[in-house]
Amino acid sequence: MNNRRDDRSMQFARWWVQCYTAGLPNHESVLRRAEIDSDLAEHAQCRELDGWTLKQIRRERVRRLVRGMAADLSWRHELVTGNCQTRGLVRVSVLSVTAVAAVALAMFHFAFAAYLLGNTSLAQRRFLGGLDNYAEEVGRPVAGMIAALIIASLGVVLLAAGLARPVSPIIANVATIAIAGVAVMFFWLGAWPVALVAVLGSTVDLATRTPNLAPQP
Amino acid sequence: MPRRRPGSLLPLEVGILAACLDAGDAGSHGFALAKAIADAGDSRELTATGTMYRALHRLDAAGLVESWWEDPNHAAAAGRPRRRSYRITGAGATALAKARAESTDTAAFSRIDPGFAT
Repeated sequence: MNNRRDDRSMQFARWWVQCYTAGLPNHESVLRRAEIDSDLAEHAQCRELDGWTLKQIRRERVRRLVRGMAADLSWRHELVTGNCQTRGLVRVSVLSVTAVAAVALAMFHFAFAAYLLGNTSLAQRRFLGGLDNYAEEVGRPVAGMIAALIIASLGVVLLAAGLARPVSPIIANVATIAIAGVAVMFFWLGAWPVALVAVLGSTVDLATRTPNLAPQP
Repeated sequence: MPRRRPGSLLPLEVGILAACLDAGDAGSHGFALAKAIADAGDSRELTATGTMYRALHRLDAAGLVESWWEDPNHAAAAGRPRRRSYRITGAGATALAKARAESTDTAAFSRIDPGFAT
């Protein structure tokens, strides 16, 4: 019975709860997840007793979930910005998540840089494609190393931004703007994959930065 | 969504409080409340999960309902996750009575002057 209930719609519901409770104080997220888990089980049991088919149950489950998504996000927003008792906890928690996300992104950049160093022709072709004259002038290995260096530098800046955010949001914001600036520059130069990586990095960083805008208690 | 006046209850909150009142001291869990509201309104559509629990959280924070978690051993014996039950408080019962009285007044007044309700 439980296996039957643990279908994709159930997994989707649990995944969604994990998403909107991420970064909230531990007791809030654990309680909400437990409550939704209970709701899902009660819903399935009740509808089975009503004689509904599994398909009907899944459909209603997803419909209830999707219709309530705005309220879920609103609930989260209320916790993050409106509740003085939990605001500090949320802030610390979200900042920790930001730092971890930045470290993960930086690691990705370093790994990418290492991969490019091992394959300099690919680096030159794919990541400095718009700088053909320059690549011809300095040679492919050097151009590849430059591409790797740029990617690794973005990793360093992201790492610095993530680690600096709990201490000084201003430094972190400057770092984020710097990454965005690099993205614009490389897009202009035609090396759009580098620009894309930089935009991705700064977007993730900016997205996790939002709670810093919450008023202080 | 209707705009809230300070101190007033939204229709969903009135529904939740009424369902809690019907459930009595034993209380009722979130899904049972959603089902009770749907049954009372002759609707097949259950309140959305997020809407329901956000409203319950709001009522709990306002002291209009109180909640408690079921004993884990009891839930394990029944083979399901632990339930969180809700029970109406004295303040909740007062707020519900006030909301119902206001709604009756509004309905009576709008019968006299149909333009009032628009």
